[in-house]
Amino acid sequence: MTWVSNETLSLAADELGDVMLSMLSVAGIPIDIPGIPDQEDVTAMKGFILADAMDYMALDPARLEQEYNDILAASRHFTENPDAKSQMNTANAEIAANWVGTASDAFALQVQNVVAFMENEETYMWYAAQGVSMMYALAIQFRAAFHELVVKSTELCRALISKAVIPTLQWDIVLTEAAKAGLDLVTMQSAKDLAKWAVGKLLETVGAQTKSDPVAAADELAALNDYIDSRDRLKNSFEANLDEVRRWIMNRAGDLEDVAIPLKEPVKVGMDVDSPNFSYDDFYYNDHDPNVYAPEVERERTKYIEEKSNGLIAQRLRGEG
Amino acid sequence: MSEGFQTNVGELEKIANTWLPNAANALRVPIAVLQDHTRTQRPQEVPAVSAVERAYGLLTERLAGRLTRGAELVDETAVSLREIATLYRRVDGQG
Repeated sequence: MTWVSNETLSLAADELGDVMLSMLSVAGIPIDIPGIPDQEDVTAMKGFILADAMDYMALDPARLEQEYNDILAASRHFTENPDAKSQMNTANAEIAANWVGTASDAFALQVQNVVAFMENEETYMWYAAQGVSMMYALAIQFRAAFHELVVKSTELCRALISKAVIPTLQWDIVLTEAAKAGLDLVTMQSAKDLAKWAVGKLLETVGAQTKSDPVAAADELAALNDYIDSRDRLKNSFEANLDEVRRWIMNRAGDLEDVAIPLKEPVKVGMDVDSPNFSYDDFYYNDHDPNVYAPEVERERTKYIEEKSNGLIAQRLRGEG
Repeated sequence: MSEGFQTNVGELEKIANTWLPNAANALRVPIAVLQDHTRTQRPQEVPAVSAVERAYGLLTERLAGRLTRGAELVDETAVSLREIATLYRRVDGQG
């Protein structure tokens, strides 16, 4: 995908500044910007147009494209890792088939919930990626719109300078509803489809949200005012669209805060050997009746805990035991 | 414990020593990407751009925090299961 570069925007803004100043000079219209010393008016006027361009340079499509790819690659680590989920599913099946008791049930649920947790986080990573892709689409669209406005305004100024017939000029302003149209499409996707959802479709949707607008003026002062008015409307639309994306992302972040991590601390589900609450009855092999084995397990558990607390294992490893 | 636990405990050990650590590692992989937020270098401050990037940063930070905690809980689960396997091996006279 190509986009209007910072350099192209700067050059176009610079050129408009020069041509507009020349037009006003030829027409004998003095430049007097309130609050600016007279000798700095010319520089300030060019600076204002360049500052307009810089608003759209604030979103860097190359950086956003990289971010989008990085976050999708990270999410795919779950989906395309053949082991991470399948091993948990197998563990769940093996534990559920062979081990009995409340703690083993809790453990089987825990590994099942690892998969559920991965799937939930994947979905939100995809949402994050789509948020980035919306910023990317807006960056491209608004750069193009501003560039077109500047180029057409330059053409209008040139025509006024040369007293030529004013051509019919149009530029495409991005509508304030552009982001909403794109986000509505993203939101309608199922979680499963989000990862592979094409950015191109988003660009197409946002790109369709434009309205052709004339670049026209009867005289030089009107040309200046026409640029200022068009520029203001484009900036308002830029801010409104970014705010729409911001609210959409904040809603996803809010939703995520309400989703509890489904994994439990092992100590709370009877899996802690060091806890007096641990019992063979709660985690036993299905062929090994706890009525027969539980006392032996409890004796060994007590010994094991004593050894650990007395550091006997460490002593033995040092050859002292 | 005449029948022994060897085969059965091996199943627990495989899950504790290999599969759960794999899952914890998988959860940790995206964290660095999520913490490395997008902040476009820009020639001038644009409040609307900063606001949307802050929102994005909040979402990704929240995701990174959840994955970190999730991985810790998977690690703790692996340790607990390893301890159970060790205990059962001891009962079986193999520990």
